[in-house]
Amino acid sequence: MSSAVKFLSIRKGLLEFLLLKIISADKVYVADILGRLEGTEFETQEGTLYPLLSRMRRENLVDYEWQESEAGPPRKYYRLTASGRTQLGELNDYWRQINRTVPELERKVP
Amino acid sequence: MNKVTTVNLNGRAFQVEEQAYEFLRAYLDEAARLLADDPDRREIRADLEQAIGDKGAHYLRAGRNVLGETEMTRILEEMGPVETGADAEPARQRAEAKAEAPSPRRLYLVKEGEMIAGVCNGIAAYFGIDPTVVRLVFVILLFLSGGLVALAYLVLMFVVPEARTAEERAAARGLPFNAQELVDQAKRHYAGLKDSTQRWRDRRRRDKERAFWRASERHDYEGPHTRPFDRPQPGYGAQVAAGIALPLIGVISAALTVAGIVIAVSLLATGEVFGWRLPIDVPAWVAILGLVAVYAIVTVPLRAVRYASYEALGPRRSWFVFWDGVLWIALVVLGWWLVATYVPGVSALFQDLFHHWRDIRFDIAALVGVR
Repeated sequence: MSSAVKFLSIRKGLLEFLLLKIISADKVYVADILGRLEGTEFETQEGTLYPLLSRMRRENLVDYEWQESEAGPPRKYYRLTASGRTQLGELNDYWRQINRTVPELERKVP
Repeated sequence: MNKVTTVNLNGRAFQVEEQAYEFLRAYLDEAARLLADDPDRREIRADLEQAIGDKGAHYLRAGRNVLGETEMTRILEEMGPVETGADAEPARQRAEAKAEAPSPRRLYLVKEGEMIAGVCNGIAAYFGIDPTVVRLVFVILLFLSGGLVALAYLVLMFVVPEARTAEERAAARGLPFNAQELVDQAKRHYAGLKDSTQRWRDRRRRDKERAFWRASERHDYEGPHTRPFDRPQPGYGAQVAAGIALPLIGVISAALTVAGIVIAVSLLATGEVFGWRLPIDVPAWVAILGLVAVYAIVTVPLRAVRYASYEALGPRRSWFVFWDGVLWIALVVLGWWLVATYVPGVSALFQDLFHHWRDIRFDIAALVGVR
């Protein structure tokens, strides 16, 4: 099994965290999110994003407004909510913590 | 040249080829199934249709009018299977369990490309062999057995449930079930269809099914080309049990009815039943009422089983209910004829009844208070 496949569940698990990061940087359309992740290890698809974003919105981490676009129907424009920012902060802390623990485990125990 | 359907994807109209339509429908049906427990399912499905429409519009810009099979496949592969998030455990567990565990292989009636009722098709799907081979064997057996095999066919037609949902269709072939498999299956199915009559029959059946689902939809229904999944699908075992139970119930209740009529006539005509005489001071009409009461009580469990079986049948129900009624009437008539011809004394009873009719009329008149 390749490393990409072994890390599959990790990548799936991190997706929500990454979405919070992306949306915190700037207000985005769903297409922008997909474009941002395209070519990276976390490349994903509409089938994954729509249900996930919908759940994040139910949990009040993100919110959207309808934006008229030049070509075609109005689109959802996502932004982070206050509790979304708090959640992102917590997740960032946890992420830093993990990044300290993981290299530690390779060291020999004295 | 292929037939073209117009679909409405979240408000935009698209022309899609026949095969492309089948893939799209398979995708959206699967999405509806996976999202059944999601409170935002309507919105998500609208979003999915919107995204599919956007990608479709992209292909159409290059001077084409119609989305074909290749384009639709590419679009749906880009969309990816619908993933319900980490919190939506039931839906995800279901999908993952299906993708990992070997799918149970069950005998279903397979109605795509059916000749009569899909029995041979279902058997072929179960064993993974060519349906034509199964049909050939069936015809040979028909001649060898002198027609008895046709009886077995009839029984199977009633007892074996039809594979209706995509999930059941996968189980009919013992295939692992996920969205990609569905798309592949649709491809293989269309490649295999050479007979235009079969294709026509399939299309007619699809149109009928669509009309039925639209008529029976509840308020949850949205989107013109996705099927509602509100009603929990009755299990395989339940459907088979219902298919067996209903004819049996029909036979038992018809027998009881015939017996009841014979007893009633006997009581009225001679005041006795098979040698047992009514007590003197009990008028015949009380006995009749008692008989009706006993019949009603005895048939309560029968009726309960019958209605439970109707519930377990799902959309095939109205067909079954109608024929069940016809079967019951036929059984009563048959039972009556058997009894009248072979049980000694019954026709004599009827002669007696006619002779005593005047007396009975007087009894009833006296009861009602008319002179």
